[in-house]
Amino acid sequence: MFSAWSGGIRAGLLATGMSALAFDYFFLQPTHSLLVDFNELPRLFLFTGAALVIALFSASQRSAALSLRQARDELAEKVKELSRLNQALQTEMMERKHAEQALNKAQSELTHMTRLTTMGELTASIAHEVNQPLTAIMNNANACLTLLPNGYANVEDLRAALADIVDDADRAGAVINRVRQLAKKAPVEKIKLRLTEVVTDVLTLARRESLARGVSFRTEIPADLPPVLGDRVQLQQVLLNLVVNGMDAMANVEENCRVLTIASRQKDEDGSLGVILAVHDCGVGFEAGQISRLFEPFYTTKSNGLGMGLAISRSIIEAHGGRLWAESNNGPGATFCFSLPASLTIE
Amino acid sequence: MADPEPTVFVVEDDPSVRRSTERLIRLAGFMVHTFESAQEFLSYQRLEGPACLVLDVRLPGLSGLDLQQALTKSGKQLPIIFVTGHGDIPMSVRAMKAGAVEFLTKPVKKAAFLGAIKSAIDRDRLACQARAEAGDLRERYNQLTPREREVMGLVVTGRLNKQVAGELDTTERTIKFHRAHIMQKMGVESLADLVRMAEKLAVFRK
Repeated sequence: MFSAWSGGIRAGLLATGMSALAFDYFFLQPTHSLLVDFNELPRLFLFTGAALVIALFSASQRSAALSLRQARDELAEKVKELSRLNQALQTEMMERKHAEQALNKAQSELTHMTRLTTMGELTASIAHEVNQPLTAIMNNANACLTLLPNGYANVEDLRAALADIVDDADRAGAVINRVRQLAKKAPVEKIKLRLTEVVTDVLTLARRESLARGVSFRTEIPADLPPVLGDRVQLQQVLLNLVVNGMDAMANVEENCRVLTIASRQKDEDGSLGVILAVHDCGVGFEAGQISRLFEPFYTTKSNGLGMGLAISRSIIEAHGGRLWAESNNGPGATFCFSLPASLTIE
Repeated sequence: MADPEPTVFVVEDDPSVRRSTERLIRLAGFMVHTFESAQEFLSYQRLEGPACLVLDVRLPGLSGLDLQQALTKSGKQLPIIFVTGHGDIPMSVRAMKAGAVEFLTKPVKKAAFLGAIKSAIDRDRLACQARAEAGDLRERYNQLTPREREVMGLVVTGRLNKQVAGELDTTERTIKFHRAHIMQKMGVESLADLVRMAEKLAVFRK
């Protein structure tokens, strides 16, 4: 048994043979001889058979243990391999995550920079927007000072002047707020929005600039336009970009014809509700082949343009689940449109 | 003689600024009329009397500078005080060169503003007087006969009556006669005054 167990089937067989001989020599008649009596044979066979069986069992035990060990080793190998692969996967995932973060950061830097550039373009207008209420406040306050010596004789005038002061301070505060929003590196915050408010905000910001350039705005926004889900500041950013571009395009148009139209309508495509907003100018329009390049980063037709506005605007709109595109008009000029899915959730 | 009341015209498109400016100027004791656009002001028939214009440089439609030019061209000049919300240096130079009284930036300081208005009104008062005088002078000059005008032209150069008579081929006595009429029609009592009038009328003859 021992030899079978330690040496395998052959050793076992050998041992069996040898022990059979020893059994025969020592225990079978005649003893002390390798010869065997006929009637002793069954005993010999029994012994040998038993020894053989034991040997066989031991041998198979051994081989079982061996293959178990082998299997265990293989398994260990496989596990090592697997964990190595897992490690590699983890590393790759980390790298990808880093790359994504870097991309996001670059994107937001670029958006921020474009915001500031656009804001830079409008700085003079913004300063003016604040200056107007300040001027009115100054005048009204001086008027009050002039009125005070008369005591209550002119209390209505005093009241009117002071009420105007409050309104104008409010107005100035609203402009500052809008500017701060534009300059903020705020994370994207998607809320339910009415596009008409976004349009109003942007047109107010651009008002002074439009006056300076002799551009008039026209809006055609239906009252029942469905709301959209979006980041207010980002959408303002896109619309501001389109409005400024539209005004730039009309720089050389005859004064009375500089009209920028902002129109919006509902759209219903394959059962999904959406909104389309179009900014229509009557300016220089596009040459053949320009349309396809418009949204490329760094492509610009302006002498001092960065060329990032439209590329960023498009990625903002696409991140909102919409599309931004441009069309040449039937008449002079171009129209830039973007579509957004409607927000039907209840908030 | 009652002075027609001085009026301040204000052209400003921002309603709040317009209201407050009107308030301030009115309380300083002036008559004030406000307009939303340069166009509106141009179509307004204004009365006689010293006046001045407070004008925002940037207006919808016709700009402040354009209005200044239009007024100069049509001869309906009046002193202009420009007010601007922008730091328009080149524009301010143009405006001043075109004859503006003052160029102020918003928010406007009360003292500077009212001071500018006062001097603008004074300037216009003088201009009004000068215009009235010139008109009066023209009237009187038109009353002279052609001969009298000839005589006057020579007399104011300092020539003696005798010389004038010689040049015009007439007698000294006739010249003295004309001279008396001229003095009377022109409403002056001395040669010096006549000379001054002649200067104003630019009727010197060599």
